[in-house]
Amino acid sequence: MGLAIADGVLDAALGQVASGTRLTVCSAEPANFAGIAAVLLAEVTLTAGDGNGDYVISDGDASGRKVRVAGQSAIPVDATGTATHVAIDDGTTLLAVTTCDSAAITSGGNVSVPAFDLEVGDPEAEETGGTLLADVQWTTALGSSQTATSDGGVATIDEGGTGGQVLAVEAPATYGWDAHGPGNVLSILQTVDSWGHCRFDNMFPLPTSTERFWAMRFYHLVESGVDSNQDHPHCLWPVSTASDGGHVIEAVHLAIVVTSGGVGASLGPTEWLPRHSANFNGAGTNPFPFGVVPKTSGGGIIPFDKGAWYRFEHIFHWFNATEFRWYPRAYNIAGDLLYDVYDLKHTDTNDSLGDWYDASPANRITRSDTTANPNDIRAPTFGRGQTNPNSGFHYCVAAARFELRSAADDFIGPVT
Amino acid sequence: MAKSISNTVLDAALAVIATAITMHVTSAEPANFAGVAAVSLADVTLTAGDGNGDYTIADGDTSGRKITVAQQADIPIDASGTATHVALVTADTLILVTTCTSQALTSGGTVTVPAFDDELADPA
Repeated sequence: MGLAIADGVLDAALGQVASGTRLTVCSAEPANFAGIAAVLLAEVTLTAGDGNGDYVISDGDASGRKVRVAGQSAIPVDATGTATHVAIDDGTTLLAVTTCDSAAITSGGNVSVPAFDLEVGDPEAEETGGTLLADVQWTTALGSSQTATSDGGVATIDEGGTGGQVLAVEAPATYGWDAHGPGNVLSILQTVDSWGHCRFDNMFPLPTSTERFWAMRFYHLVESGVDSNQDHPHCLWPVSTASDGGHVIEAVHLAIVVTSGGVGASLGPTEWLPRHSANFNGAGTNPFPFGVVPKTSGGGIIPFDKGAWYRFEHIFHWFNATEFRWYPRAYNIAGDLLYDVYDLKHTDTNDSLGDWYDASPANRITRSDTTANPNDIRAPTFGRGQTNPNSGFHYCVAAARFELRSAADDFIGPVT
Repeated sequence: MAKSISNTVLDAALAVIATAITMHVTSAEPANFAGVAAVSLADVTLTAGDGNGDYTIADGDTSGRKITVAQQADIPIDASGTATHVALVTADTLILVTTCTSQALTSGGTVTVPAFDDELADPA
């Protein structure tokens, strides 16, 4: 962050220096006021206060503010030695020390100290961690009210669709979340044969020409049921419109899929399709049971354990308004990395997404729906059953956090 | 010349920052206290003083001393606009302004300002 600070702030510091009533010429740097006596070669009384003769506070040469200590001439030398430092104190506290040109001085003689400045520059602000956009722990209330599910508006959650699910904030002990992190649990129970979703609206600033790193972390648990006959049931960001294949990014399945283009659709030069459910023996256009797509072909879906919490992390590295790279990760609750960008394989080539990134700086995912659905890309969505989602599929989300970070590997990390 | 300065000296400056009692999220950099109201999108009350909850003064990461302003979560947004700066004020003085990630805010929502440090280095 750039930062501007009132002169009065820095002048408060320089005013402390200007409260000094003695200048001493020393043979070494004193560590504190008590240490001055042992290294003192010469001393002179100063008149405290800005503008009183010995101190002048003004704008700094580089930035901030400075105090100029007036030159002191013909200071009687009390002890023979080599002068290396000049110190200022107020009779009880060592306020400032500066070095001087090394010079041998002799008791009984005089020494002069030229004027010198002490300049305090404008500070640099340093963010701790990333720029927090939202920390959603569902602590506002229990129950199914909009206030509860949106965590009092921390997340703008849109419960869309046709009533195909029930959202409720439940106590953490119900799902064992209390052993892992703070806050309550957002429970999502799909109940009818239709689609619905719980969507975090507009969690990130829209992509622009400015390079940015979106980061999202959430914990996820499947309580019961099988979501085998659904399209993209967990979490997704639409990447493009259906007209060019309707790419979506699945944040729990860790996949990019082509929805309307269908499984096995031919891939354009800007499309990338990791291995997904083409080899899964399930019904539906895009059958995605809960789990991560395997590294090798024909292996089916690697399931996550039901009733277990997993941590998902995502970085979206936006190069500009339309091009980005997606870096997903999945961890178990112990913090072991289970899958990352090198574990997602392309359906056709079997290369990993990480391999593809590494092959060329030009290999980026291109977003195309910048006009028809400009906000969808920044609206991560949990639950979007489209076909027969009435299996009683029940899953939970906890400790969702959204930040702007500083690098593609600058993941938010576990909840603390 | 190498120079060092007492913690007491730098802390006197940081203590002035810690007198700020209001944080404003603003749509532009205010030039002075009178200019804050025109650009304020959201504000939150701070507890003045080192160690009282919103300010912590400690050794700097590089040198000197620093003050950490605590994260302010869920600040109600009073006016829609694009947040670009964060300002700290006392009852009558603009103490500090820092930039923030540009973000569109909508009245009625909330905004969170992450913790940030201001570090005063040892003098030049």
